[in-house]
Amino acid sequence: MREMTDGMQVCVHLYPPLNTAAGQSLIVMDLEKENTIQGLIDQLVARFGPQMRRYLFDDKDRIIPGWCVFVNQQPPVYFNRPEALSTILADGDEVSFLLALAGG
Amino acid sequence: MALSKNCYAGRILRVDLTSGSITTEELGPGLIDPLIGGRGVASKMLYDEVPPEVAPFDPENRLIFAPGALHGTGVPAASRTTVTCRSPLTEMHGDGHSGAQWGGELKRAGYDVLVIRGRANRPVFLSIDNDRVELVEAGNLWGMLTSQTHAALRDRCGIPDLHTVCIGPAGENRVFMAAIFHNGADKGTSARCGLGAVMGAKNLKAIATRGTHDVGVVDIEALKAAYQEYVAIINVDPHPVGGTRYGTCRFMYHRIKFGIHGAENWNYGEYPWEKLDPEVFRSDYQIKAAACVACPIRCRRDYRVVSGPFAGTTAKVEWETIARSMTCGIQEPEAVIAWSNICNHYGLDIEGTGDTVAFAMECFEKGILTPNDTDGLVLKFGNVAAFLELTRRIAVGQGHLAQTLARGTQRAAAQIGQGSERFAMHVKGGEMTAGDPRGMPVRAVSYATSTRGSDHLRSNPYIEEIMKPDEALTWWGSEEAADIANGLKGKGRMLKFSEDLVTIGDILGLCKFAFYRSATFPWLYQKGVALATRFYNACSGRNLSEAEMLTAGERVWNIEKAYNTRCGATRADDSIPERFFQEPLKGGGPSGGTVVDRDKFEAILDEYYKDRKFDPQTGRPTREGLERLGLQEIADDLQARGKLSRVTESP
Repeated sequence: MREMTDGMQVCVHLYPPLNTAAGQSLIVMDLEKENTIQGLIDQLVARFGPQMRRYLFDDKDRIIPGWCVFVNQQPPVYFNRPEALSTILADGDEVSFLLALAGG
Repeated sequence: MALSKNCYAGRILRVDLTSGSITTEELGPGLIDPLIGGRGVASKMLYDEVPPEVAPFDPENRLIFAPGALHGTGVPAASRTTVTCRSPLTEMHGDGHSGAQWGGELKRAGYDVLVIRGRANRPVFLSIDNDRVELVEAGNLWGMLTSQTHAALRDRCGIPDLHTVCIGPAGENRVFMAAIFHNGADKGTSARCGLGAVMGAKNLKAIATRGTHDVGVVDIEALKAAYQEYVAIINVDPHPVGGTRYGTCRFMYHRIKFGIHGAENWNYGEYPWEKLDPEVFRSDYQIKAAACVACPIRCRRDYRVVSGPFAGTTAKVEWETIARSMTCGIQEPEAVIAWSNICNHYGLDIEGTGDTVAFAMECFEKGILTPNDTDGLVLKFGNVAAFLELTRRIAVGQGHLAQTLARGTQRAAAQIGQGSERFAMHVKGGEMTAGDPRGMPVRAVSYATSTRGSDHLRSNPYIEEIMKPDEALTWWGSEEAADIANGLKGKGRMLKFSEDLVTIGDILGLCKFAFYRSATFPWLYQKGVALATRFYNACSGRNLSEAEMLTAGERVWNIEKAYNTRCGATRADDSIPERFFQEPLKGGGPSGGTVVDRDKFEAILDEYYKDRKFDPQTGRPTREGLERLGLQEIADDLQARGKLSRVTESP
């Protein structure tokens, strides 16, 4: 990962179906410094288009609460809590998106 | 030609194995109107016909097969059949649910329900070919594996597309974790509660069925409109995508998220999982992705080992197969596939069997069992050879230890003693399932309140994972209900709702993964209640409201609760193993170090009882609660037996 001065890079792990939307499971995203998970999501949608948006947002344009995010293997951030999207990211963070709901 | 204008065949088929009597009777509005079908009708028939004086292996115990009301209609994922009996494991209400074609075939033969009673004096199978129903000598089938039995019946009957249910050697040997298998080893399994043991106790090896009639649909246009809305949801809902790609193995990601693997007999929450990654199963072992009847999700997966000691072994593997392998410390996908092969062919429930083997392994590791007790098996966690061999021995009853374990962990612990009881992980006698409840309080309570022993499919309280606080406030009166780890208020109400919700699926025969899981609560409600009700109305010609459909689910739950109460269950039975309260979850990770907070557990249970109108002191139903659901007769019965509570509020 290259050194950033004005911005930062985060490594993003995409689990199904986001990996289908992106065509890959592991990507590096360039973000502004002290950007948030909300900012990362916006960048993902900007980069990968409607298919990514379709899986991240519901039909009322709200982020789907079933997603959760791990940042550096810390306890997950749940999107059913409004404050989750404000989580600030740092350069070099590893971020994992999982739609991982109970069931079987 | 349709037998009737709606989705019901309109008949109950009764077979008495003792006398050989075969009769039919009408399935009338007395059962259909309040209970609809499937699990609803079966639970009520069990209550009416099997009192607590009838032991599970008594010939008078019933084995009731009841396809869901929508099975056979073409409604998406309407493929589930309920099998019900008094369980040898719990000695309470028992049932299992399978997605496969046999139930639809029974309806096409002209029967909504099949009730088996009695015991044949020699092994038999039941042949149902539309109106031609007969008991046939099956001595040559006895001892066969499930796959062999299915193939032999197709040959013997000369019907290539014959549909069967059968037991394997485990059922014949009355192993308490024996299951009933649909169309051989790798299609569908009515797994829990020892259903296969009851079938074996009746000397009934199999039921071979062919039906050539149609199942009716009253309003095909209404069905099509609901179908289009269903497809519109699953096209945007990201939840089904993982199922379509990985099958149920996808739930590995949920266990990783929370760190709740329950590995090594529910000691470890975080555990090496990388070799068991769903992507590994998909890329290295998958040979077939298939679906139950009419299901657009297609989550059934067959895998094949291509090299090594298990080369050539194939098996249908579910997520629980992997989870219970981890409970035994297994980390190799080839061993998981080989174990699934053994369970499926010998006729074992993988959930109950896995936990039972894990119990024996912990006893061995702690020195309670020695090589002398195990006939030389080194029952250490992760020992693949011992894992597979003990499973086989349990199925065939080989050796004293295997025979002890064949009665489930609760009874095995009572027999082994030496403090092993604390390693027996069960609720009401039924082994644990799914993920570790430490870190998810409502999950802990849901395991406890399940009417068939520990069970993750009896409710869906995990809707806390998808609910937003404002939705929780609207539905359960508190934003806290959407807080997974710390919330309290509203959790009991949420649990009660979720139990009624998924009971709808079992009444109608709808798959829980296809209808009762979603990435948002509005989609979940729309599929599981609104569309489920519209599908049912379209197929039956009735005009139920969504509230009435939820009430039907609540009614069925109360019947099962009353059955268990009649069998002696109290609040003390609505609990979980002490390990979850007392021993911090090992292994680190998101839930590492947590226990189930007993005060929080009891507070959620109190709120749950209050919402159910059960007596919080005794855990028993009340007359008020039963009568508002039209269950006066059950209230009278419980009162006559001294098991009806009078109060709904804490003193």
